Amino acid sequence: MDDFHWKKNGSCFPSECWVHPLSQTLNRTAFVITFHYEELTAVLRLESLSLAQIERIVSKDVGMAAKILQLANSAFIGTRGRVSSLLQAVSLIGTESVRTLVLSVHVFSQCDGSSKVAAYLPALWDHSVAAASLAQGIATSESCTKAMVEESFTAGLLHDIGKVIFLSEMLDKYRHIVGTSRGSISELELEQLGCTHAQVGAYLMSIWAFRFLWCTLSPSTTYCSSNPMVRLR
Amino acid sequence: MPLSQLVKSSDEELKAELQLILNAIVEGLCGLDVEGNVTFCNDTLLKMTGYRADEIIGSNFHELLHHSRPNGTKYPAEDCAFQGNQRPSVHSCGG
Repeated sequence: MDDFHWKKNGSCFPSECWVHPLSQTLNRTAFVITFHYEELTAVLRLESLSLAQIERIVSKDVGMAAKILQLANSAFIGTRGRVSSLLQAVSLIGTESVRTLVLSVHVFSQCDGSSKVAAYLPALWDHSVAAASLAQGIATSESCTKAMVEESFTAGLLHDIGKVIFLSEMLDKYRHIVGTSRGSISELELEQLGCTHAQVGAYLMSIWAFRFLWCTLSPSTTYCSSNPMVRLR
Repeated sequence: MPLSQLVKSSDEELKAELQLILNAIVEGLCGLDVEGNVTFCNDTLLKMTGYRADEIIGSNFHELLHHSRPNGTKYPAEDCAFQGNQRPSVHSCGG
């Protein structure tokens, strides 16, 4: 559970807790709590992050570090020569993009507990990374500002995050929707689930308080296939 | 070596070994009894909170570390999942 705990000096820190019941016998350890700093939340709240800060956080997570290095070396980024240093990779991808990447990897990793769901995630991940890189490329070729280039990457990477949630929460039902869809998948989602993956993604982003993105859909908004999930400010 | 001493010696060795394992864990960790009092903890938790082991062990977890909400208002012990007889079920949540 997300929670806060207090330090001796009077400050508090956000944490995630796991509770493991052991025994119900009196005078014995009844349960064990493990918790760690919720650095991801802290990262998202910070106004600006240095490359070194990001590298420090990312390097603690082997899976995350591998994902970032993999992306930096992928054809999407288009680098010449192999990127082997995490600092170089972060610098190449951009701080804002890495922030989004950290978030996306976290969401994907939260949903891959079931092997049935996990089977769908690599393709969705590759598609999201491709969309992010193409969006970034378009913004670059249009001579957009550096901030907008990074935001384009973010929008591309997160545009299908609602699908991850659907897969994780209602795998069989969603698999059926994907399988029977002949036209717009969003219309079928709306018809059978009452909302689209874009709306779920937009809702998630509003919870995460993405300051640089506007979520253009809300649960009360009538779905229109031309509506993007997010638009750049 | 007398049997009682042997048992005591291996018990201490086992405790020391367990503590080493606990201290190697990068996440903060503590054990609570049914009253919500801390029975053991690891070094990471001490670093996170700034308390010494002797200040945490034996103390009530909620009263020491979980007493208030982030906005400073009191967090009633009866609402706390780590407190007293409200034994939580197994769950793990990410952020």
